[in-house]
Amino acid sequence: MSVENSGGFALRVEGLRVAYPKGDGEAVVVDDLSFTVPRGRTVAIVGESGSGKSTTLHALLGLNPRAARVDYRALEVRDHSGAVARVDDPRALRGRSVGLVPQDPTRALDPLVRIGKHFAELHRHFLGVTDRDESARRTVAALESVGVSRPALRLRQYPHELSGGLCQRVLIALALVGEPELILADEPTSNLDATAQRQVLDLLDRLRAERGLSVLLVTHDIAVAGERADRLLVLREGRLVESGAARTLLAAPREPYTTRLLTSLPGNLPERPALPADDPARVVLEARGVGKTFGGRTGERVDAVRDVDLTLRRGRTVALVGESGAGKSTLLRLITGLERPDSGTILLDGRHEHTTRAGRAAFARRVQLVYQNPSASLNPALTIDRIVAEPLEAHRIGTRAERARRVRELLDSVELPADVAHRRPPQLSGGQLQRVAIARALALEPDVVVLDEPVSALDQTVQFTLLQLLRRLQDRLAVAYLFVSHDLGVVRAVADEVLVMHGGRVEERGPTRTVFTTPAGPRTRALLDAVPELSAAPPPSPLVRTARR
Amino acid sequence: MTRSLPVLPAVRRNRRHPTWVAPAVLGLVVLAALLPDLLSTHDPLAENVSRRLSSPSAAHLFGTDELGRDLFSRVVHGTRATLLTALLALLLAFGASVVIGLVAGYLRGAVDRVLMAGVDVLLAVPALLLSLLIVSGLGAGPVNLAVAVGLASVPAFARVTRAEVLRVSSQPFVEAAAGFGVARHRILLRHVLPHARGPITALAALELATMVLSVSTLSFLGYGTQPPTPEWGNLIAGGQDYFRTAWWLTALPGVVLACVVLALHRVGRNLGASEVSLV
Amino acid sequence: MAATDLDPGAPPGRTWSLPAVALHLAGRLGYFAVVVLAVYTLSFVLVYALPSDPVALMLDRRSSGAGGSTQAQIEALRQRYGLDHSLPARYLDMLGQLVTGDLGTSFRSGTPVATVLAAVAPNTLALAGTALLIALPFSFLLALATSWHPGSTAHRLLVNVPPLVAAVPAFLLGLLLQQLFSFTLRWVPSTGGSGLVLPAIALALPVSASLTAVLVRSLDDVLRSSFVELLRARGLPWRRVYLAHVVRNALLPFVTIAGLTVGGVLVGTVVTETVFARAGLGRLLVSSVETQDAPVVMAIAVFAAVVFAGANLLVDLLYPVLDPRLRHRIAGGRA
Repeated sequence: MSVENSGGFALRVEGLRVAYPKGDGEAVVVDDLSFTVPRGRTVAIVGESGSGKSTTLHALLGLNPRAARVDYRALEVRDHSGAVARVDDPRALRGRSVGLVPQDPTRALDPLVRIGKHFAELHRHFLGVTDRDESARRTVAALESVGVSRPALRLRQYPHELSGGLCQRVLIALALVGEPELILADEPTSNLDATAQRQVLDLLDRLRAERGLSVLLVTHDIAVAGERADRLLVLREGRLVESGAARTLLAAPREPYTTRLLTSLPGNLPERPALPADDPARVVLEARGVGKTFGGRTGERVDAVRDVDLTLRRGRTVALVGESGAGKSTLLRLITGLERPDSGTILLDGRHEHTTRAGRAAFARRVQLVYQNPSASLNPALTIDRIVAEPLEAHRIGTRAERARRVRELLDSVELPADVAHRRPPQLSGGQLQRVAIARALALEPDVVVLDEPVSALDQTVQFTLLQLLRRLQDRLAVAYLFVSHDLGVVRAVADEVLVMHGGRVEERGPTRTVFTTPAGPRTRALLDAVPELSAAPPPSPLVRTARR
Repeated sequence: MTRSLPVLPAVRRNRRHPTWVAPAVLGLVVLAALLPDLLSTHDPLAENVSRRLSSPSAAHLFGTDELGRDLFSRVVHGTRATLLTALLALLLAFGASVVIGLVAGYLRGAVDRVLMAGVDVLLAVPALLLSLLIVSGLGAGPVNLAVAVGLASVPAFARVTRAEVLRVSSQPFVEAAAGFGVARHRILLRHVLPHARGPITALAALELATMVLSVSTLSFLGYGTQPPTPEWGNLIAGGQDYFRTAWWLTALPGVVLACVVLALHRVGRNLGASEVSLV
Repeated sequence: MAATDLDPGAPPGRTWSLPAVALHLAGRLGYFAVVVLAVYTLSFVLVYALPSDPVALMLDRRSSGAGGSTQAQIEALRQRYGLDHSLPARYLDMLGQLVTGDLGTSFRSGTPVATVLAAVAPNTLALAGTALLIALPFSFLLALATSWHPGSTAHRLLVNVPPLVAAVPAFLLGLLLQQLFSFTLRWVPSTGGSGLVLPAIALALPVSASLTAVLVRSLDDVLRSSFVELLRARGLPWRRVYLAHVVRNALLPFVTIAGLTVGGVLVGTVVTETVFARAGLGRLLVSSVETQDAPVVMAIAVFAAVVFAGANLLVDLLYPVLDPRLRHRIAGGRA
């Protein structure tokens, strides 16, 4: 192979094609994909679900299922000595040439094996180190280098005793044991809390700089890709849409699809107008000193929610932000009446409470919940019109014909074509399903709609249109939204007021703009730090951490 | 703490290419049970000493027994006894366990805990022992046998039913329905049952296979239909004394029995149950 | 790293605390006692509370050919076996005797049940033990071979073996084995019950089918989990990944089923001993059920309950040793 190229790239792929047999023919998942990962750089593969980005990563390590047919014209890597080697069997790359950092760190470690043993196994296999103390010494050093606190203690811990962020650090350290030249990172942060996300990406950047590694980052988030990568590859339905240097590609995308990805970043939604200090909008729901405790008897008691005050007003959106375990879900279950609070009161219109029968009926009718995953929250066996009509039937509203008319109106208001009415949930896309769920929530003309991560399961372009829809609906119907999200980019675009929760308490609250520009608490700052910043051109160089705001 | 069970639903929607063999076998069996005379070639009770213990031939497809009776006709006529007993057992088990499973899975709380504690204890007892104990109390005979086999499989079946009800009830769409005020019985009828029904039906097919096996086993031990009325288990038991010289007396009814069980397995699997729940 | 303090992970692993372990142990022992008591109660209800009259049956048998029996005789016998007391009183009396080791007297032979059982129990235990020794390694190896290459032809073919074996009734399996090896091939003596291997195989096969199916399924489940993919991606050889990680994770359900299997094998002797004409508890149970020899039926049921509840107890105690997550829960209360 050409020697003059040897310093140029860590990995070169030409004509990669992955297909699965389907019926008589085959379904092509990745088609004729060629790219190069330069040494010491980060290349990002960006794509929405079904783009073939993860399949590509798997093909590079020969990890695809047996049924898959993987072909490529050329696959070359630079080995430890710096020479370029042609690869016939990608399995040979595993561990020594290419390390993999996975999507869901908490499930990526053998649950029955202590952290130390995970390393000892690799030490024995790659380095021939059989001595326990030697292996332990190396492990501690490796864990230290990826920023794991108290590394000596971790050796004896099991994976379930570590948080997601720590697991991901451990996995990065494990990927580095074979001293690979290239790291493949498969959505490495998608299952992590916002703060851990930034830390893991920073860690990958730092390791790359320190050790001269190359990184191939797969992500659905073009903002993350733009912030971290030197080169971008935009993939759609298995085909390369566009590729180029991150800076130029983001500044001047050539393909309409890339443009759409960029304009659909939640930051591009128009900002909410600032509200006057004493908001004239009528209060519809008020929570005072609400608390809820789980556990008891044998286990430790967990205060899921402690002393939370919350006010929802007509036509306004309050966003609930926090990491997993902060008490967001419990609070929204309390608000919607799916759980009863142990302390405090929740008042609808200043009078109804869950404690009375009439109060419960009022809540069931006037406070509606939209779930995170629409494909699970809609009964797959029923047709769409029956799903949307069900709340009306439950409250015996209207005749059959009136209900049918109302269903048509509702589907129209969420901008769905009328012909979906006779289809069933499995035949619709995720975005369409969430629209159906919203239509159902609006059927009873509620005053409050609680949205539990309503767009987090959707692709970015779909997210964007759905957020726009939610806004239009609010402008028209003047419903109050309680919007739960971990994504601050989304929150900034939709919320009038933000509540930051931590450990069941409200740690910070205020108008969205105030919280975003002058965050008071350290956790709010950490959460904000984790939001990738793209809209302000020119995009920051990945090697230099930009000070934000 | 409850241990996870060997026979949990494990129902997966992997419909393989539906084959016609299994339904065809079952169709023949049902025909034999309903109209045995249509299939049998001889009178199952007619003795013919001159032709005793003759091996399978064109005249006697399965050969003849020690009294010269045509074995094929006896197997055909024995279908009804075996199948009826097994179906009765299934009906009993199905009825009892669907009620227990639904009540426990839907009401949850204390009712669930009490019911499942009882079920768990009974589950630790092998079904054959339970059957034998029940037979020892009730005495032998096809109806008592059906009761014994049916009751013995209630614990496992109830567990599975409850697990299915719980699985469906925990789906967000059920909670969503409760959230906007749909009444409980409507949720159960409209959202929970339709989704639990498929897996439970698939399991019933597998369970029927188990019932056929248990019924013939207990009949073999002499607790079921009494000779000379033919029944698969007692046919095999009767052939046992001659199987040194007349292998067909045990082997051929046995093959028929195994084919029926396999066909039921196949159908259960095509309905969506997995292999594990059947063994 | 900066801000590591925001991500401190879980507190260091809890160490074993004696009270927590003792509590767990007591709970498991309690469950053992409940199962045995439940079997005792159930068999008591079925054997004594149902309308059939064991004494009349017994007298029928004893007096066959010697004329009828008088009312006085019946009363005497009732008194002798304690049948004149009320049901609850008898329940408690017998439970008390059982705890002190008195199993009662056989209706049929008039000898103490303990003697009757002791005569045949060793036979059955040897048979069941041998069957377990065959079934456990056999099903383990068969399952391992089946799932070695997921999706391969061997996998597709071998997964069908357990359901196939399970479809053949155990008694037929015994008869066919006997036919093949004793009469056709003449490898094993056919009668006398001296051969242990053939009946043990006949007993082990159906049990192996379920064991194999469970292990194959749990192996296939583990094979799909993402940590296996990661281990492969790290470049570990498949043999290492499979044996050290996949099999170990799949073992947990296997151990549970293996515990339940002990009961299955013990009760399976009912069929096997009948088919092979071996003396043993299984055959004794069959004949006692036929003659409604209530004390013997009850004693065998309780004995079986002790054995399989004991096996389940062992498995329960083994579980936390195998699974650190469970250990965690026991040590720290409910997580």
